[in-house]
Amino acid sequence: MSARRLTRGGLVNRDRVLNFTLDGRSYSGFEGDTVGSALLANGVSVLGRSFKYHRPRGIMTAGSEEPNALLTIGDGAFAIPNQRPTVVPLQADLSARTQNAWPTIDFDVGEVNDLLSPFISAGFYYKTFIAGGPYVWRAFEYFIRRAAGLGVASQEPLPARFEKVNAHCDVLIVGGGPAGLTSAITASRSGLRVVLVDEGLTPGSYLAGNDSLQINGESAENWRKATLEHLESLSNVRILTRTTAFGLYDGQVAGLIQRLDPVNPFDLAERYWTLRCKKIILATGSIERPIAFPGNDRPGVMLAGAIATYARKFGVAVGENPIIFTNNDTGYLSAVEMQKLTSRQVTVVDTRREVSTEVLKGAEASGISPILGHGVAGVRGKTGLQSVELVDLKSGHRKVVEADVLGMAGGWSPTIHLASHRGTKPVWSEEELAFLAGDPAPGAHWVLAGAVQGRMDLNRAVTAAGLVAKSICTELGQNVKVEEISISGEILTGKASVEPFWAMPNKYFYRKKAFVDFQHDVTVKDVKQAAQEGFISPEHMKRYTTLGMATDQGKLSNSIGQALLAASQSKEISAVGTTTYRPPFTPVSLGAFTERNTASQWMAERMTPMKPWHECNGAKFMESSDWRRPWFYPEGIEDLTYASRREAFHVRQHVGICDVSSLGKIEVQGPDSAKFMDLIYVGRMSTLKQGRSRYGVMLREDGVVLDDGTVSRIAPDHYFVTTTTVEAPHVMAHFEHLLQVEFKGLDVHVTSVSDVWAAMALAGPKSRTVLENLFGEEAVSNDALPYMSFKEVELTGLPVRIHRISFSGELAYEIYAPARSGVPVWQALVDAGDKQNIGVYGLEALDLLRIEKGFPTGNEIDGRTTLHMLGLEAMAKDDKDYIGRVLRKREGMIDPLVPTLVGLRSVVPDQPLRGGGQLVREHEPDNMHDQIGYVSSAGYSTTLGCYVGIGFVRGGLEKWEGQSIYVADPVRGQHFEAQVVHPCHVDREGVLVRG
Amino acid sequence: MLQIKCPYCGIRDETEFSYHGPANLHRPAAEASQKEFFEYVYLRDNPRGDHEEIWQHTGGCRSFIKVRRNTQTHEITGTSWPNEKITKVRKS
Repeated sequence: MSARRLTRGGLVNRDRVLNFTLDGRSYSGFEGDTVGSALLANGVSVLGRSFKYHRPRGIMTAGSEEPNALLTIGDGAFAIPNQRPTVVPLQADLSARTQNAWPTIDFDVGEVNDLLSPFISAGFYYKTFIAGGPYVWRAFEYFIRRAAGLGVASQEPLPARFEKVNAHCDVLIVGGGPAGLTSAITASRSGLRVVLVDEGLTPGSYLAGNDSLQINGESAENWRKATLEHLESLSNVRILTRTTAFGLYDGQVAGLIQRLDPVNPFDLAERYWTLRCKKIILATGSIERPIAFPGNDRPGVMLAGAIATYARKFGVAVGENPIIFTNNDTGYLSAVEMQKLTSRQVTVVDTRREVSTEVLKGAEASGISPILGHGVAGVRGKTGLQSVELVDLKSGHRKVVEADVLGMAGGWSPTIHLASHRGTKPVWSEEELAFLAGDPAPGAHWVLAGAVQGRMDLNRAVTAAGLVAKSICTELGQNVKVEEISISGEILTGKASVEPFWAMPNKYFYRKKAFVDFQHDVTVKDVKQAAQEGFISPEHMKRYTTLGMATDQGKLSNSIGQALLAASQSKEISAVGTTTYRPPFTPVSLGAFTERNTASQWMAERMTPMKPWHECNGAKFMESSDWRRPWFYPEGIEDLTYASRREAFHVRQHVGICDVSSLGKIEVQGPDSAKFMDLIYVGRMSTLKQGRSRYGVMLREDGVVLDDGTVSRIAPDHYFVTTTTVEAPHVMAHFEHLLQVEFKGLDVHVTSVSDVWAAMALAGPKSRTVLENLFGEEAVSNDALPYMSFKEVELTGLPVRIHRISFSGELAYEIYAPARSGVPVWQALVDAGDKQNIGVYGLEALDLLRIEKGFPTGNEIDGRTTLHMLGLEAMAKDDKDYIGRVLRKREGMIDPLVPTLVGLRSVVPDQPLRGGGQLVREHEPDNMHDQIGYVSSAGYSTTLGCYVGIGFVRGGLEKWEGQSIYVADPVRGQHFEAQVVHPCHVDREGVLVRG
Repeated sequence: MLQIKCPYCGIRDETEFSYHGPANLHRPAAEASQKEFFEYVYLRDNPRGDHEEIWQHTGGCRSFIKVRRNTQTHEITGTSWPNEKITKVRKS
């Protein structure tokens, strides 16, 4: 094993060796390691190239705040980029790859950016590319995107499994550190349902593997283990490890992401929790801050606390010659712990000249004599630290000391992100020198406990956490005793005495970079430049420099950034403020959000009752809102075009049958039904006779057409209404709204029966003959069943309703049967039509037939058109109220210049006319500006032997009938002549339908 | 995610409901002027704080209900039938 691994200590199992690879090279670690701790134990220093300057970077932290070391972990389709090795548990045969370097991590061509850096400072993109115009940007975009970046996602679908859980609890505790565990013990006594979530491999944070602290007389690690065992034994407590509460949302909902780290990659990878909590305790702790000094991003420069954590938790000494660079007392804690656990002599460099005697005594007792009043002026060693140049901050006297690792202790920033998600503004505390969460709004359901409040004193933190848990339980009606906890050992007993020393003074920066945001390569100079150029609010500075906008959301950098921004304007930090934290706290896999809702599970599909028949008969289906409808039935090698033309022609020649079950169907019943129908439709439905049907159009209240369909009067107080497939849900909600809110007095009940009825259209000159075969001549004669009437009949015992309605212009019927008898009735019709050479037709042929007739549908009634535009004004009854009556007559809506419905035919018969073409006056292929209308629907008419269409044109038929117009279709590269005709291309007199 | 108490079904997730506009608007009488209809259709208050609105329990009983929601905090402090006054105030 490598010299970096200590012979004892840590929570790793030295008996279980796990081999893994990085960029193909083999390494080994132990069970209990993170990928990060294993790499550090192997002495791997360079783990990534930075975002912009491609500088070599190594591990800086021991947690999810890691900005530098981002790896792609997994193979092939399972490869997931941008993972933080500091939190990913090591597994046998894990394979990891470094990112953002080409050709290799050690020799990266992109490093030239580091030399070019004077030209690519803050605002470089804006100044160079936006000012340079779009062409400059387009020319360089590819290279810039390639050079700047993180890992690359696999292009294959991710085979990993994700699942979603909805759960409830009384108390959610976020964070399993000292404060989180103490609140959990106290809260668990209430019998309330408690959920404790922790990001780590095991809860405990600072206590995990800690033998130098004593809690209630035993070692912290033993106490932690016993506490976890106890909590796990309780039926009302659930502990979720490797779980991040990534967001707090309205309605006391916490979003959790639980990583299962399966050994078999096909097993469940992650679980996405929507957890509803009555109360939430945020014991999220705090994150150590770096200090900005030249070269503070070099591999080997880490956070002081992380250095101690690797020794304590993983038994890894990250270096032989450690230096701790601190501006506060906690740096000493890390130094003492490192020295004690690793037996390496630690040097402490403190920016402060005055340090409390208590702290100095503690350091000296461990054999550490701090160098006070000094800073770090620079470092040597590009891919690994070799030496550090110290400078006396007063005299400027410099000295070089050897060091292979440097721990920055720049104070602590409370992890207030989740509180920020609930809308509280972070408040700068001059006392704590940190942004604290603002007070919760009255009635808020969350409280803070522990270091997230800015407390660094462990005993005070755990005592307060117990009391917080007690008061939460009281609010939930339970009385509990607070767990008494006393901690002793190497701990702070007061404040950390942080000095507001954020960055080394300017004079040490000559041609060297001191980083504030490591992941986005934002330097001290960038922040100052932003302020100089006027981006003085933190929100503007953030966007100009991209500080805090990386995937780590500025967990390390924000406070320093705001402090430097304030200093550059000689303002207090509290006067400058900070930006808002938004979910997610750490990145969440998209796979977890989608979980199983992919591919065919994406959304529910609605099928018509005759679906099995269509499938057996070779139908191709298409989506129509959430329905799957038969699109066409190819014969042999036919494609959509040929099949649909054949099917449409067959209807005009013989007879065809089409599944129209997806039409919306609504039953309207009750004494006031007639009144209600008059209110809904622009036409008069109260005069409709029993047994008859009528075409109806309804408007929205703003006067725009909502939908159309047929209305049939079953009984004086009973109507049957059809709507279009797509608008059915909206029409139903529209009806319900009127009846429940605006016209509550009307005694009417509406029921959606769309799924109750199978519906089939039988159209063509021989359609009556088919029905005669089944029901006899008398039952369906023109007198017994005239156009726009209906009757109920029986077919081998099944109740069936026949409506004489036509959507094709042919003699046609719609046959309604209860859904469960859809297939037998359909089959009976197909069999009965055998002698008449009955054909089936799908949605495409249906569309061709209705275009030939000029009937409007979704393309025409698209939520923008009016009665006037559709040429349906004559239908409106204006002596009586109906929805949309007043506003449909607004000036702009009846303006003669508004385009109205016309028919179109291509002059050259083979010239395809297609929906979406623009109508212009002149034959000027380049002139798209005098557009006077558009083609809404078009297709080939087998009846007329040319392309026909309908569309809207300014001036309408009155002005254009018989004249030439031009169709400009730049998307398809076409520009051709068409003739304006009446929208009804076939049988304008309607002889066929009435025949 | 908000939770809304449907007077008929009880407390349900926000995703079962759809929003239908402010509760204080009522369709003008048939003989009202174009201006009145225009205001009914287009003019909206944008209050800060409590706002009474109409929601439909689309994915449930399909009832239209009145909901009082705080536009600042999103907190829902009461629901009722559309023609009733919201009386119940949830203690926070």
